[in-house]
Amino acid sequence: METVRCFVDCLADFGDLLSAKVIRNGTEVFLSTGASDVLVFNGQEKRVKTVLHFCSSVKSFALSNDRCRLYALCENDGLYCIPVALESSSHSLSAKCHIPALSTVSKDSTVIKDGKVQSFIVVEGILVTVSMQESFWTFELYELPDCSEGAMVYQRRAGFQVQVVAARIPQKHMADTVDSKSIAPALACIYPSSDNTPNGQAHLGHPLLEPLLFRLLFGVDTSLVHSPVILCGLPDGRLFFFPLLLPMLTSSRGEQKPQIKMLYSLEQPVTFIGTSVTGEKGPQYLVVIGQRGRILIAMANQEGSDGKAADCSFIEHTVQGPVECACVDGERLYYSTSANLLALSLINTSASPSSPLTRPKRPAVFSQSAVCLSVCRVAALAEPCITPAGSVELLALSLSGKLLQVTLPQASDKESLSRLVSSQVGQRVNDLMGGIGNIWERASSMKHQLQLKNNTLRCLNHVFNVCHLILNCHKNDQEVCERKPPISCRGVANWSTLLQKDSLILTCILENLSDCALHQGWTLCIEVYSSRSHIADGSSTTYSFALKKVDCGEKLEVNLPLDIDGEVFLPVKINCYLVYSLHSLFHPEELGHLSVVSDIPISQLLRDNGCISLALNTLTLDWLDCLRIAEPNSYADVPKQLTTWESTHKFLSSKQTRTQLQSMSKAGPHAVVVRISSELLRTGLSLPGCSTAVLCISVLKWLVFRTSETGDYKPIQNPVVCALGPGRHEARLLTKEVLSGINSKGDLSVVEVQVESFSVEALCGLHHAVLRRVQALLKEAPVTHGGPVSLRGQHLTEAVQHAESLYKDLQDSRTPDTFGGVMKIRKTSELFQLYLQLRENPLVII
Amino acid sequence: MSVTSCLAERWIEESNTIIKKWKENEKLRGQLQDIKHCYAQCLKLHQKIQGVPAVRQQVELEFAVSYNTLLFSLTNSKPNEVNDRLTCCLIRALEAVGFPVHCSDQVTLWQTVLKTFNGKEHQTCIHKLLLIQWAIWLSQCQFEGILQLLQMINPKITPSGDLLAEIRNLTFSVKDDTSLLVAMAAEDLKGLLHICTFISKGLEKMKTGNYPEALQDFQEAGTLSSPRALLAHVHTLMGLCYAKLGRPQSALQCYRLALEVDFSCQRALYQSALVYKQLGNSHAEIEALRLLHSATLLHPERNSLSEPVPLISPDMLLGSEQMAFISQIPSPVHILHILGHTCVLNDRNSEGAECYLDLLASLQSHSTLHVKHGLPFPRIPMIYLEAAFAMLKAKRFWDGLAICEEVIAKTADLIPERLFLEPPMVTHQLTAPIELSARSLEPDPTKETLDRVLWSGSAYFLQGWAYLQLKDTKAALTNFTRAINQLVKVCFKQKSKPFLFSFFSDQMVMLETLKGQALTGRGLCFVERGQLMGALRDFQLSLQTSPGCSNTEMWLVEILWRLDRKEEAAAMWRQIKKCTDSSTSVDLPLYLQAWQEVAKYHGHSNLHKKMEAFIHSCGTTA
Repeated sequence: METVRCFVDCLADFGDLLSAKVIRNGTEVFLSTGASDVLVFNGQEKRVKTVLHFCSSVKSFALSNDRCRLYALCENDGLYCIPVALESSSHSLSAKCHIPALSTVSKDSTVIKDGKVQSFIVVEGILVTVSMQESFWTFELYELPDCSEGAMVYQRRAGFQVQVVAARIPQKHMADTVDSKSIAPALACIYPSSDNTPNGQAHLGHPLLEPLLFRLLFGVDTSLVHSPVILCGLPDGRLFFFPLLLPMLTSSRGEQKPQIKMLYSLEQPVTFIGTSVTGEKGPQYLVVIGQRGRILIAMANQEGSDGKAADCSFIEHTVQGPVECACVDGERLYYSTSANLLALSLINTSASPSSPLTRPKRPAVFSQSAVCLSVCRVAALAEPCITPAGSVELLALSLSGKLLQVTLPQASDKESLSRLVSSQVGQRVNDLMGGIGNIWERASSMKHQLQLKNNTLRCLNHVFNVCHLILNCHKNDQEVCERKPPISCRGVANWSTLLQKDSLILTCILENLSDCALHQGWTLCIEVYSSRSHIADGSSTTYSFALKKVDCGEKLEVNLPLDIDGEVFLPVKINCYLVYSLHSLFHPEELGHLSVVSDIPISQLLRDNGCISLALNTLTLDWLDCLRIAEPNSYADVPKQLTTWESTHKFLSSKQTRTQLQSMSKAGPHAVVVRISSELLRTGLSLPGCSTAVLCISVLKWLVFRTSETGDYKPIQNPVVCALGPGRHEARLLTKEVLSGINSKGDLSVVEVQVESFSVEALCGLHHAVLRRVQALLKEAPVTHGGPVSLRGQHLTEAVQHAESLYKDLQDSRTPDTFGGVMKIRKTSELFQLYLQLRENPLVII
Repeated sequence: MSVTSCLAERWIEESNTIIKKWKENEKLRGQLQDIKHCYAQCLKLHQKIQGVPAVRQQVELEFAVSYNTLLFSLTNSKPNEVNDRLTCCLIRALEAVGFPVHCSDQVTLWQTVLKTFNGKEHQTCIHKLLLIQWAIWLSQCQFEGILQLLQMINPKITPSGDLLAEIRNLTFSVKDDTSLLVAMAAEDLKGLLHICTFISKGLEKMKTGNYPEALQDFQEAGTLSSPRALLAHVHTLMGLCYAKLGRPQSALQCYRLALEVDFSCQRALYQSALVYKQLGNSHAEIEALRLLHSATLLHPERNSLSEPVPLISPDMLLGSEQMAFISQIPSPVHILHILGHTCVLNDRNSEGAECYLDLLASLQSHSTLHVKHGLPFPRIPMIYLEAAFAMLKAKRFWDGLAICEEVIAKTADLIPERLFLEPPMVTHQLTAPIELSARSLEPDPTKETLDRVLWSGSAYFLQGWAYLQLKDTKAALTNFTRAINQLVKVCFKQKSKPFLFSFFSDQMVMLETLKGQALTGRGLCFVERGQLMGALRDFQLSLQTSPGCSNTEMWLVEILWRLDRKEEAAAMWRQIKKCTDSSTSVDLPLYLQAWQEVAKYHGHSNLHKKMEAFIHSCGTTA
């Protein structure tokens, strides 16, 4: 392909575009970038002077014939019409300030409220709109109100309809069918040229056509009244026309002639309709270009000397598409594929000068290929104009948002290519470098995009692997839990003393035993349900730790406080989750791009399911977990040094205890006993046949450290453990093996777990915790006893009777008493006594 | 005082303010913008009221506001939207009194509503909404629905099944509450609906051809009080019925009445022109058309500016389709064409020429968009040829020549050397999908080419005639020859001629006539130039192609006489005397119709005397 270098001047840069349209109006350039703005750019000052902001995105726009009104078609809104300030008036204002004036166009300027309008054209006081209504393309003609009068009523004068046909698009272009729906019909208004209009010049911005071709294409009637003709290229490729100023005609036979007729079918969406009009003897064509590169040229054949009537012929030629935009200047057709701007000569330069009698040769498009102009990614072209020097100047808007002024070399320049002066060589090299730079820029941006997408996909793959692992583990859990889960979270409660203030710290350890590393983007969420939340409103606290990277086999330790306002409410339920936010899949750059494409911010797109959340483990921390083991000998282990605050607190709390539990504080520590059958414990803790002492110590270890192993790293040597619970309540745990007489056959060896404490709170908490542990043990223990142990019925009866009597007492104490405040304290103590008695049941957990 | 009643008072006040403002505006100017503005306000208030749950105490207020809002919305929204809104109001009213219903059928809903509110204090308000329903259905021509609706509130009489009878017997009260203002008194609306229903029903009958009954309906509608424009329409429609029933004088009377009531009733003017034409009163017809033309030119401006728009216009109630039928008149170019045509036909030549010149100017002007409604307009070349003919008749020969030149320039080069007419296979293709004929611009290219031949032939023929009148016989001869040359390009096998006639009947008749006329014209040129043999040949050929043209026959006799072929002349004369005038039934274009009298043989009485004497002498000698 022949390549021609042309001078490209970048006038402005508007950033990436979605779609573009550009119109030149004297020194001013109107352009839209696919957003809801129309920019008015001054070519001389090289800056944007005015920004017209519309309510929705601007699909297309046009200037009225007198160039004093701007019509803009907006998405879903219809057609707006606003007056355009004349250059002179706006000049004085904006000369001083260099900030573009922003004017917002209100909805009141809507002249046609029809969201279905897809394209429009303004011709001499008439507005033609095309809209798709159900299965019809509807053409509506409106009369424009007089500019001078204030009235803005657009009266509908006429309308036609054309049935929509299903576009027959070849299979290989099926992907484009979606596009073809969104392509707006192309409209053009064509005037017949008359003797007094100079050749080659458009009439009020509309293309002209030689009378003979005009007559042949559009009929004698239209030609006689010199009516302009509206040509419409529908997205299905059909080319329709109707004369604008002709009444409904009837033939001499009384048949009505249809107003709108089909001229041709291009069988692909129509991008551009124009005419190529050159001098007196030159060719005169109607030029139509389809989106996929099909070019239609209609030309007239003069009346021949052999008596053949004048007729017109249609010539098709195909260039490589897709054609984004096009324009015609005299004999040359300029069109832009997304990759390049090309010029196609329509004049047959190679043909010998033909005598006027012979029929004109076919246009040169068959003999010559397009000339590449080396300007890439042009999205819109304005009407070409001729510079004073005589060269053609194109105004192009590239997809990267650059407003380019492309000056084509003159024909004479092309011939003297070999004899370039040094300054021109420099310019040429500059241009080439510019071209290379342009392409490099495009390539690198594409590479970057590709890289981003690959990264995203890789991340997504990792995420799915992790999901799969965890979900599989959950499934296995339900069947049989043999292996350790690949990713798990353990939790241990620790006491830490900071500034002599004790606080309970939960240390969670995330262990990754899987083959997949946890990358950035994952978050470990730990939800802490305090026991208080069961009573009051469900106030849980969630702590999230964003993971940097946890490789295979690595551990991550996080600490979090368990006490709320210095108090701990046990037991605490802890749910661990791994959360992956899909936001982190997107590169911030892409996020910005996405939010430009769709008006909805990305956060809203991903609002509902923007996260993948995987539940790991659920832990429960109870009193037993939070004990601090002390020496077994003393109860009153008062710290030697107390800070003022602590001593005050101690004092106050002891006071409180006294007021509440007056009777108890005198009577030594409270105690509760839980009896568990030794056999159950031996099997449950997998200590078959161990001695009594070892069993007792093991049971204590199991309770306090959740492990029954007989290692000596734990400070438990005796079956007695003294410990400090939360709130510095002392408590003692004892285990001993006794024989219980509840069995009918003989005595049953039973392990008594006794909890002693002065604090009711600690007592209850520990009792609850022990029971919970035993409950869990029972659940886990295999149900293989040596047959049902027969129990002594009498003992059971006694136990039941005891329980019943206690229940009665409880009922009594619940009867409303009339004694008021003092009695309340009594009642509390009474209830506590009842509780203790209830706990003292002689039942054994087998 | 409860919150709702407090709110109710405020709402009543707000509603009354809106309506008061509307009434003021209506008196002052009454423009569409005002209606829109009031509508927006009413809608807002209506939404506010609907924001609280419906309660029995508020029903009256709600009905009044609904009535106002719906009245405004009738002009501003589509009938279906208004209908939906009305349904919502009714359902809400039923909810207020504890009758929640969920039926979509409008008639059933109304039945429930009327039953629920029967005899209660809200009945009058319900009737107001019923009027709105009536208006919606009327604009959609749903007479069945209206009939059912009216039967529901006219329970006393046994249902007659006739909508108009029901309307006549309508007795329900629609008194207005003074505390709650309404935008349009219900009584007025009822009256308007009454008339419009009669008109609409009459139009339906007219469309089915039942003119006597339609006439009755219109006559009854005419007795009711109504706006001027509407009354004028009623009179016009009555006139239309009379005209159809063959009573042109009564029809004219009606049209006159219509114009007396409302001078802007253009349909009446147009229709009276048609009646005058039918009666053969060309003078009156031309006057009527002239008035109509000036009225159409004035009308658009008057319509768009400062014309007060009534809240409920009859146009809206009758629906756009019915209204289009009532006020259908041709566009100004049509009227101008009819006017010019009539003038030329009635020998008012200078007037006709002026009309045609105006017509050409308005066709070429780029500022007027011709309203493209159903009335047909001849092809533009025909208009040009008629205009040229009008020029010639008005002795403006050079103008006529120029116009013909224009037609020739546009058509002559599109005609092939030979046009072979074939019995068209294309008739089958015409019904085929449009894609098949995609590449040919005309659905039937042969007919179009034949038309072009006729146009260019006619143009040459008229030019020849112009030169003949100008006494430039040489140029006339050239042009007549050119006309003949164009016309003989059309070839067909003699065998298939009758067959072709069945397909291209009008065009074939015109072709033959035109050929005959052109030959006669050329013959006359020869006569002028003294080339009698040439004249004889042409006259004979002319009679061969289109027999029965008395003028040509006369000329032939004359030429034979002059050539001293007296026997033949006498034979010809006898033959002419024998056969009576047989005129062709096909309506020829203006310029061919009127040609007869232009090329009239003037020495008729002289020839008559000569021939009688000769025959007599022959008889005596024999």
